Formats: sequence, structure tokens, C-alpha cells
Amino acid sequence: MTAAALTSMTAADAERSADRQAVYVLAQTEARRHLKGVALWFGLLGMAFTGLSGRGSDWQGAVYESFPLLFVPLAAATFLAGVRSGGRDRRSDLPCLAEGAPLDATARATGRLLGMAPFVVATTLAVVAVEAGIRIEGGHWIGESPGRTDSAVHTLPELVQPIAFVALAAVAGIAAGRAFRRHGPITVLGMIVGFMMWSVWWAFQFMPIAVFALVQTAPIREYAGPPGSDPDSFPADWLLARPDEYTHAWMRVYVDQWLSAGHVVYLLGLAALFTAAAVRGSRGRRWLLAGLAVVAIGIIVQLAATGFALTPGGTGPGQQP
Amino acid sequence: MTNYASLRAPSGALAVTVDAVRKRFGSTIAVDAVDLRASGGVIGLLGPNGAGKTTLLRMLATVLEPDEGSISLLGLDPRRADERLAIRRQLGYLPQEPGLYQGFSAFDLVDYVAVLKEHTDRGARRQEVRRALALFGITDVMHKKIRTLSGGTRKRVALAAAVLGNPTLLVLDEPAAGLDPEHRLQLRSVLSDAGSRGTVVVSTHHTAEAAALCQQVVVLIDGRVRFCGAPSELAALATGRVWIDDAHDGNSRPAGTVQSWITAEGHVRHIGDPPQGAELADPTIDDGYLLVTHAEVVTP
Repeated sequence: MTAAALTSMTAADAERSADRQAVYVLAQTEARRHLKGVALWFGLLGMAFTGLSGRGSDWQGAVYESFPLLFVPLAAATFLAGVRSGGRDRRSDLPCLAEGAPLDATARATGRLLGMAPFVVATTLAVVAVEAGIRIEGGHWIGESPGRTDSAVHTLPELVQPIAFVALAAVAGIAAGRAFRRHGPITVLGMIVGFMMWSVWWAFQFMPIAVFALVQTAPIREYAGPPGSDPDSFPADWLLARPDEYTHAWMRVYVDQWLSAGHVVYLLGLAALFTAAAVRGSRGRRWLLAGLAVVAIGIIVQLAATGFALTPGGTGPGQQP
Repeated sequence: MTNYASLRAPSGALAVTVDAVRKRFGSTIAVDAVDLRASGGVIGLLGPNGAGKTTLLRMLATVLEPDEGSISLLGLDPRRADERLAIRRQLGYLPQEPGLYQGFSAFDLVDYVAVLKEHTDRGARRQEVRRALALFGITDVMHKKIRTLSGGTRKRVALAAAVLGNPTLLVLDEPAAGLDPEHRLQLRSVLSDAGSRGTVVVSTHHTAEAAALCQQVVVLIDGRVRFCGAPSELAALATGRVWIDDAHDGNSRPAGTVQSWITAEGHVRHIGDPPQGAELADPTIDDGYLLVTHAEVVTP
């Protein structure tokens, strides 16, 4: 290799490094703005409110399954902050800031994506804090007698799910902000989706919708026997839910780690697809392909975990005949 | 503070070379076969609204590509991604509407632009931001939100962002618009200083501004260059075409004149053919510009 070629390579490396460093500095700048802004703190406040309002629920599994719902307000706030950050250069009434600057739209989008880190970090800390509290209190109630436990704690994939969900909200916000000139409608749409995930979350918790839902709760329910069944007739290691006004049958309740893990992979795949929409260009195409593959893997893992229960009236686990 | 590009202008290269550039928007030709050369100093673009000044400046700022012809900036080709990046590392650009983020303070906004310009060292960047803000006298309001600032102050914030890092090539679209006389003079001082170190291309509607500041003026009309030369040469185009008349009858304009108006002294100043009894007057750049825009003079 000639000295000239080596010099040229070094210069090119230096340029790439300068570009990368500027992207990191932009990410830091954005992160600092998020920490000083209201969205993160409102999100955490909403999380605390959801947690306190859900503590009084008195049926088996109620508090356990409300865990991922705690993070929906934080995810909604994250989305809104993402729209704001991702759309800085794309407002209906303003042209792009510093158009002739070295950091182009892709580099700016990358910096702004990384700048959403405070939301993901805050979610991780909140997950750790909430789960630590749960474990200190001794765990949650799942199942009716005779198979009942009061010491259920969340599995690792369940703990990762809110973090993946908030990361998805962050990336979706950046992508939406960059894609739409008018932020009003996209903000309203984000709020509606957030509200649905928070207030009518149960409407999405049946197979196969739960596979595709943004929030997937556990434990899942599987038909065990008709209302008149003797609970002692079921295997002793089963956790059960008794028939009630909504479910007119004995149900087996259980946590499927593969289902939860598959859902995390699915959410990360969606995040990769939104990353593709945010960064665009050749890098965006790579994210698109990776995202499609990861989404497919996540769906397949979940479906495999439920015995490929593709219809609510099917015969796989989690379904009623 | 600044990350120096490995690609540099070849020594002796012209800062701006525009060759037969054409740009269309649909059926409208915004810039038509424009040639331009600049190798330092302050170059003023004059022309009526819709003349193509903004389009030409956007091409010089590397944010728009010409449909035909070629542009070379600092000896580099903006069509090549690596060379465009190298140009941008040495470029300061003030668009007509700078798109300032309304929720940012003036300081934070200029600091943000500095990040977009790859000023990565925090301490040095903040020092540079303060320097740029001080150049335009904004330090006293630098912590106020953009949305609370007056139009003129916002323009000065945008100017401070444009001059960050002392760019070799400054492209400014109507920098003086909205500025009060004091700040306009301040701007002159900053631009003449920048012109002594590099190249400044500036569009303006103020002919007096161009006369005071620019070593070279270019008059664009309907996307074409109608004049290119020193301000004194533009004024000289009106030699023998400017007249002063003591007697005036209302607002009437004698036949053969392009413009007539009553001056502060109460005389009538005519541009064009001599009215009866009028005396020849010294031309100004305004007179030359007026004749060029009315196609009353043939320019080289």
C-alpha cells in the first residue's frame, strides 16, 4: 500500500470519526434537553399514578399482570418527546435549521435517536425499582386455591418488555416527527394508541392478538374445564382462575417465558423498522431488512409458544374450545 | 473545536465558480445560464423579488443541486458527497427564513447549530457561541426563548449561527432585512471582516448596503445575470442619465424617464432621458440598478 493511500485512509477515518463524534455530541445535547423537559417527568408521574391506582385490584393475577401497563404513560410521553425531537427540522411553518451544516438529515436523525436514551434508562431504572419493591414485599398473588401462590415474581423477559416498549415508542416518535410536517394529528394518534393500551389493554390479550399487541400481559389464561369442575381434579401444580362474570370456565393461568421473550423480540423488530423510517437511505434499508427479520422471528417464537393458536376458537393453549 | 476536513480547497482555487447553471421549478426557470466567479471579498447579489437570488444562494450553500451547469466551491464539487461535506465544514449559510427552534433560548439554539457544525468540544464550542453572539450584540438576551425575541433580534441570532467557526465561505440571504440601522452597521463590520479572510456572498435589496460593503455586485433579473462588476461600475452605468429639475408639477413623470421623485431638498430627480430644463446629476448605485432592472442600459 502506498504512503498516499495510507494518508488518504487516515484522513477518511478521521472524517468518519469526526462525523460520529458530532452525532454523539448531538445525542448528548438532545438527551440533556429531554432531562430538562417535562415529558420524561410527566411520564414517570403517570407511571406512579397507574401503579398506585392498580394496587387495589382484588382478583388473582390483577397486580401481577398490571406490571407492563405501568409503563404505558411513560411510553406515551416518550413518543411525544420523540415526535418533538425528530421533527425539529420538519415543522409545517418552519424550514430546516442550519441546512448547510455538515450533519445531514441522517446524522441528525441518528443523534436524535440516541438522544432518547434518558427515557430508556429511566424505564430500566423504574423496572428495577418496581421489581425490587415487589420482591421485597414477597411477590404477587396468582391462582385460586388449591393451587395458589402469593410469591409470584416477574420473569426476565417480562421485565425487559417495558424497556423494549419504551424504546419502540422513542424510535416511533423520532420516525413520525421526521415523516410528518404537521405534528398535531400524529400526536393525537399517539395519545389514542397510548390510551387504548392503558385503559382497554384487556381487549388485546387473547390469541393471536396478544402476539401483535404493543402491550402483552402475563399470566396468560388457558381453558382448563367447565364451571362445574372440581378444582382438585386438575393437576396439583396448576395455577387456576375460577369462573367469573367474564370467563364462564375454570382457566389455567401461567407465565410463558418463551411467549414473553418472543414478544420482546417482536417489539425490538418493530423498533428496528421505525429506525429504518427515521434514518432512511442505505442505512435505513439495512435497518428495514434487519427489522423485518427480527419481527418475523418474534412472531414465530410467540406463535410456537402458544402452539400456533392462530384463531380465538382454535385448539392451542390459551384458547377456549 | 473545529474538525478540519481532509479535503481542502486547492491553493489558488476560486472560492466560487458557477458555470452555466440552470435551475427549474416545474415550468419556472429560477436560475438561467448563470456564470459567476469569486475569489474572496464580499459579493452582493441584487435583484427584484423572484429574480432567482435565493435559488442561486441555496445552490451555493450546497442544499440545492443545479439542473444544468456546474458549481465549484472552494475548489470542490458539491455533487460529490465527500467533497460536499468538506465544503460544508467551511461554510456558513443564512437562509432567508432560518427556521429557528422557537422553544430554544438564543444561546441554546446557536450552541445546537454549533453541534450540527461538528464543534464537538463542549468548552471550546460554548466559547465560540459566546463569541458569535457577542459579534451581534445578543449576549444580554441570550437566555431568552427565541419566541420572545423581536424579528430583528432573531435575525441576529441566525447571523450568529451562520458565522460560527469563522467559515471560509459565507452565504447570506438578505442578512440586513429586519435589522435597525445600528445593527446594520454592526453587520457591515462583521461581513467586511469575514470578506477580508474569505468569501462572502450576500443577497440584498439595499443597494446602499451593497455599495458600502461589496467589492463586486451581481444584478440578477429573471434568473439571468444582467450586471456583474464593482458598485462604482454599476453606478457609472447611469452616467449621463440622471437629472435634477427644480420645477416640478405634482407627481407627473416626464416622457422618457424611468423614475422620477422629489428629493428631500425639494428637487425632482429623474432617471432616464433628460426632461426639459433639467441639469445633469452625479449617478448613484441606485440609479444604475434602476436602469439595469428596467433594461435601460446594455451591460457587458
